[in-house]
Amino acid sequence: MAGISQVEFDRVFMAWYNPLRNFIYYKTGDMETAEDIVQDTFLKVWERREKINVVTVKSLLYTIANNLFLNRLEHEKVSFKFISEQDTNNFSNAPDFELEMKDFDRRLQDSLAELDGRNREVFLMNRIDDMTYAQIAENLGLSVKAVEKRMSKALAFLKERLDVKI
Amino acid sequence: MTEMKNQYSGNKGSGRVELEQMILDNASRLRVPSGRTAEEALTLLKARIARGEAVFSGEKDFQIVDWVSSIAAGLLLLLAIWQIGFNPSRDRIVAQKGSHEEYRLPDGSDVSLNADSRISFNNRNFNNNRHVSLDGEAFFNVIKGSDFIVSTPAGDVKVLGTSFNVYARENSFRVSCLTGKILVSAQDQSVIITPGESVKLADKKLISYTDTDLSLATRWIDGEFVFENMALNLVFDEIERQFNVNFACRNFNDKFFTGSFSNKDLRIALEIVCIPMGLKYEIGSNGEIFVTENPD
Repeated sequence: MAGISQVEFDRVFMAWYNPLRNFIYYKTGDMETAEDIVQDTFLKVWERREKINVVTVKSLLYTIANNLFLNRLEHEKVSFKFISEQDTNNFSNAPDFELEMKDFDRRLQDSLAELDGRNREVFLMNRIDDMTYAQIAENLGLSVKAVEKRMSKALAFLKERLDVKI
Repeated sequence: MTEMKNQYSGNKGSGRVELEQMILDNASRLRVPSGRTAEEALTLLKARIARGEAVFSGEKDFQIVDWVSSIAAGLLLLLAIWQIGFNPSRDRIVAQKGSHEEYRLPDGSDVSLNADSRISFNNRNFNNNRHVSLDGEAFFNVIKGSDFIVSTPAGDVKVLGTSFNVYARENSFRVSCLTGKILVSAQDQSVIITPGESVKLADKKLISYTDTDLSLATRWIDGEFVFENMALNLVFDEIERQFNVNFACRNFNDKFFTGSFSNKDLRIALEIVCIPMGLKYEIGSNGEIFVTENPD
């Protein structure tokens, strides 16, 4: 049955706003741009809600968001910033280790910024948004194999970058 | 610590595995910088929808659209005039002065119309396009479904939930939410109100406030009219509407009334309002009401 109701739209919004915004953030590294694009994405879905199927709305959201991202003229490189939720309790009595972890984290974030965008988004969707390869494949309209490939490319690149003496 | 360091900076296979695990673990602990919450984003989106904003797919469309749009706007205006004035499928429900009307809309939603109020809507395809125009005061009890929009000359109300009261007379615009959630927009502003909250238009600004007793806002449905520090002229306006009478002259701009009257008996209503205000009234032979200052 085509069409999504207001209630369904609200539910879809609440469920997918954060993952979708993160997805665009992984591409742009700019929170404001990501928020703008996701707003426009949902506005587009709202305008077409009568023709949209609630089952396929997810991949549609990702497709629209991706297109809106591609339509943006400026794609200047931005440095990615993440907040690390370090579990400090584990090594509270090892300040050296904590320092080392902080350094590792900084280098990880730098490497993520240099990572190919398509590999980066898949890697972070899996790591930050806890999506399985199958879920990522469904959302982005890829095969699970393609997701696995991007994931292992991302890992290989990061290992290469981080495997230097500290 | 040294152990860990050796493990992942070493060249042995097990070290690579350890490094991989570290990358995965650390990446899992990363979070994007904080932005607005999903709730805030949804509120923002609703406001944009209420303003009728549309997203254009490409910037290139704009130049052509420029002159095309002026023609399109003209056509739209014609269409709008046709819709309002000549569309035969448009229904109009009117509550005359001195009477109230109860009406069930095609979708099953109920409307109570106060005296001297009217609504109109397109009865064809109403379930998919629930749009009602209102002039006056009405209470709506809306059945769940697609968007339900009430347009008034001063502002619009979009229903996100179920029952609410709209007062839109002359320059006044007040909306009270009884159940559910509603989106009120006027003068390019939008406010979402929840049960117990009201919003009014004052100096072109939408101001939300909490009613001390929200049931007062809808007491008119049972024929009782409650006022709190209300300009006396507006109270007389309500008496004119409820009893279909006219006040001959009234220049009581500096008087404010607090109290209530019922629409069952004109004389009692007049006494309730006039006595505490230090006024006396006379009903002329033609039904006109003369109010004067009481010298006592």
